[in-house]
Amino acid sequence: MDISLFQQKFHKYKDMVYRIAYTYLKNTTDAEDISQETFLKFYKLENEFTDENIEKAWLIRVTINACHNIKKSVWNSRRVEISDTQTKIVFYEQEESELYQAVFSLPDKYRIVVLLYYYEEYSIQEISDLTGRKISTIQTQLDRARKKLKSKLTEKGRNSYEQRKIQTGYESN
Amino acid sequence: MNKEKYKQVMNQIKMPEDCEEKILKKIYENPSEITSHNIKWKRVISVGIAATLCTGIIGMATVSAIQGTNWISELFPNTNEGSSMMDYAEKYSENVYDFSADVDGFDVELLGAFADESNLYYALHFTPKEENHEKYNDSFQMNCIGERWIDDTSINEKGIRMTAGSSSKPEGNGSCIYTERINFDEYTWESGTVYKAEVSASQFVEEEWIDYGIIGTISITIDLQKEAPKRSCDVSGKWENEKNFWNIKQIQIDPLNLRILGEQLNTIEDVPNQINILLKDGGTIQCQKSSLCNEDKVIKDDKVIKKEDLVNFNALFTIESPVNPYEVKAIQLDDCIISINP
Repeated sequence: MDISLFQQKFHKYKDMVYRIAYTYLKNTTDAEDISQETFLKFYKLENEFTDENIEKAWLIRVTINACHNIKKSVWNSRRVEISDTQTKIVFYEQEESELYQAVFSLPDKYRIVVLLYYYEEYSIQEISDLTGRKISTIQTQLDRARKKLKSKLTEKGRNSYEQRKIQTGYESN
Repeated sequence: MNKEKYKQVMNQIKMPEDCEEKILKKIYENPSEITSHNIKWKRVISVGIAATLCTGIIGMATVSAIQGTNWISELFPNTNEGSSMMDYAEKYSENVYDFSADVDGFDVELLGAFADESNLYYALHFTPKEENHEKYNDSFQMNCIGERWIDDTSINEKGIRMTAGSSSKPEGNGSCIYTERINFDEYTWESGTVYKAEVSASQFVEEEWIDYGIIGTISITIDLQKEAPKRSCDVSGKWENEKNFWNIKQIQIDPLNLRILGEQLNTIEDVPNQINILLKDGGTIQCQKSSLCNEDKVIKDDKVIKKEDLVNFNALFTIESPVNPYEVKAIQLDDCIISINP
């Protein structure tokens, strides 16, 4: 691929690839490795994509496959990194922080489906094609993810309401 | 769920600038050199596995040390025949003189091993005793990174910091080659040291790991007859980036490890992106981070770095292929080069 074209595409898709890898693996080091691996494959492609949707879908599929391979390795199943692996994101609104925590407490297979559905706005059929999972599986995973998120966010909302009540109580004393 | 809020939150996850620079730099420089092998060799601290030892121990195998050198290419994917790693392995291969394994349902063969005072490298071949194609497919994997002992004392009890890399390559019929390299940060092997590790099995089914728990142990006895060359030099140099800096005071090199000692800001999160060993003959060898610790008490005030607080640090790096410490001219940390006096 021509380097200037690559540069253009890289800037267009870099955050998407990194976001998918990080969402899947919850680990900055792996997300960086996956991004590198994916863009190298992309750079080495002999033929350019004529359709941008196919190009984007190719990048998503390669990223998910690479994440899946890491997840599948026995090493990954039991390791603890020395370095800090969590992205440090500062949220100014409590609601955002709670949503982030709730999303990242979901099982990885749900997180990626939620990302593709709500963020990338793919249909269930398209997510099925991208992930190689059955349509019924995607539907179930999405339903379960929604329920889990709802329950987590309701619980958090209740806790912070209680917290506010206690604080107000102290203040009034 | 509020979709817009979700998008807002997920928008915060962006590729870090240094990652972006690294990828573009590699593409511009030489894309053919980029490999994904580093994914396999994560540096880790050992992890305890919460499972009990299986009582039914069936298999027993004893093999003495090296049986050919093909395993080296398995153990070190980047190592070509004839490279310095091969020479090094050959030189130290006699340093393992006994191996035994008790693993439920599996025959275990030691394909090869070598050790110097601070490193142990080994490759095992696990073969199921009975055919079971349904269970033993290429998603069935073995590993030896559960509880570990040195001379019958748990390494956790000994307070030893251990870093390791490992990989497992399933062969489709339940057999697999398992390779591992271990180096100790605060411990030195002695002659006759016995290294023991739990063996566990797991399987990746429908995107979930099924854990079969501990199915046995392996034991490797080390005999050190040859001492690896070591070099320790006082140096003076400074590496810095936007968030951190290192005042480097001492460098210690053995054929496979580089240790850097000095002072840094009160953070352990920012380290050089690239560390190279520069040789007298003009060669360059890459290093990878193995461990890093602050020796003084770390005072962290959330994400605020207190610039007035300097702490002593001690960073260990794994050298990609063995070096003769006395052939090292300098070390390079990103753009900063620190010369070592002859």
